[in-house]
Amino acid sequence: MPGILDNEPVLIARAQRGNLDAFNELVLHYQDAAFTLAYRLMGDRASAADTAQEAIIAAYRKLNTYRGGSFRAWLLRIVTNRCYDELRRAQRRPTISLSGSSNDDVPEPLDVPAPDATPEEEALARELQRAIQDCINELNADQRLVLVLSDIEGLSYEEIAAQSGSQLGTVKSRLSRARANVRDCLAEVRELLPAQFRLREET
Amino acid sequence: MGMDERDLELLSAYLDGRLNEDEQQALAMRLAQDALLRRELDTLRETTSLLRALPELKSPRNLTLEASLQQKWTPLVLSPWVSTLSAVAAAFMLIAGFVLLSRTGTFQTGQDALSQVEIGFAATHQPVESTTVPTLAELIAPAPLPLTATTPLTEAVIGGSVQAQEMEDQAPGTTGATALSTAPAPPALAMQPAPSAEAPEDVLIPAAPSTAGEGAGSEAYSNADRAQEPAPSPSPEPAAAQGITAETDTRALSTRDEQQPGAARAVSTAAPATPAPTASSVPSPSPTAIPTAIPALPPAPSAETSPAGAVLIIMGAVLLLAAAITTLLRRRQAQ
Repeated sequence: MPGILDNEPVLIARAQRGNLDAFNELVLHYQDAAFTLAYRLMGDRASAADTAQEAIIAAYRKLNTYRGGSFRAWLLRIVTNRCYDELRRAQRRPTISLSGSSNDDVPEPLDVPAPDATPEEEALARELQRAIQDCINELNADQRLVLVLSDIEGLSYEEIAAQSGSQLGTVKSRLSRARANVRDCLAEVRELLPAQFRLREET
Repeated sequence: MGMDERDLELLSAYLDGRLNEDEQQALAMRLAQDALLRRELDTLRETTSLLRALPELKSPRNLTLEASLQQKWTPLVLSPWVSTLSAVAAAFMLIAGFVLLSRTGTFQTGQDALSQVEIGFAATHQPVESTTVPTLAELIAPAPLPLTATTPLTEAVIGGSVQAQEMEDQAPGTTGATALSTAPAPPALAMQPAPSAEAPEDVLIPAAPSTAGEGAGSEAYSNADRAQEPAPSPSPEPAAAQGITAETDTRALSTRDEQQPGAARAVSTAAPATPAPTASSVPSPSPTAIPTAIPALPPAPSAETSPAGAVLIIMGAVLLLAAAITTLLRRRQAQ
């Protein structure tokens, strides 16, 4: 993932003064991270792009609330909150299915595939990614949030608790439940997985 | 895999290095003996490493903002200064409306030299009492209604009117002044009308003696007010208002038809002495405001007051409401 921009503080300061170009430079730098997080949480490409876009607009509007620290983390927090709100809303309306396999293709990975990867391996990797995402999509909003923030975004329990407004204990138990659920879900599609990713059966 | 929730949490925290030494040692010992637990840990570990290995994805489109998009997504209506601006505009409209109305009132008074005679006539003819104060209260009351459109306020105003009416009933001739001062109080609780609500006390009381010279001044008021009272009436709060005026309606109606023109002017006579807000409080009800308060009565033309002022007031009130709504919306959106 791309690191911090060299002139990030300058860009932020200019954006805070209303310079849209400066803000857009920041957006270009972080849009893939924002989209990826949204996709992991939302589970499909279209709503991920829409939600990430909304979050970026919201971020521009409240740029004055950014008080230093990691801009990436600040932006992704806004993305997370947007997605979570959407998920909760969708969960309240049973007509919209949250779970199940997403119909659209897995979005393109940012990194080019390993040069020695055969097309088969590449396809398998895609299948695996899709399977994992489908299993994430099976989780309820709360478990999904904790799992994505912890195991994909690498946030600590404390950060997750602060961001989701939950107790530390709640985060822990949701995370362990979510991991177990994803594992069980993946076990069912085990045959899809390439050997190096296959869950070991031996004890 | 029917794993105990506690063990599951333990394993999960173990993977994240979140167990303290004792817990970690205890778990290590169990893992050494328990193959099932080991397998559980392994599969969980692999799951988390699979999740961590998920690649960062490429956004299918640029999420940069365009100047136009930015505007589209930041509705102009919801920008803070629009609310402020409309609130200020609303205030101007309200003030202008009141001033306009008060001017018309004064102007008419000057015009009608005869009105006082007519008042005297009306007074002698119809020494009715109980209408005066409630009516005035209602005349003042309608102004806040469009501003706030809240039932509590309406009730407060009506309560004031009723109270005033009771007082008046007890001592028709004398309590007029005090009743007047009490009646407007409820509207004062509301918001804008505060100054105009208190004003009548200062204005109408001194005005009474002046008319009294020509006849029964206080009664003249009652007639005058009654004449105003029946003005148009598409009321949103009919029930309450009806209750208040019901008692006086019959009497009021009987005089209204004969006395109306003169009586209406009589109200205006009171105006000259008054500061702007007071005078306005009297005529303001005529085309638009009064109707809200007194629905039961047949509409009576009150041609002497300019509708422009009332229109301004209503527009101002609507604008004020819009400003409040946009402010609320903005707050909600900000969250």
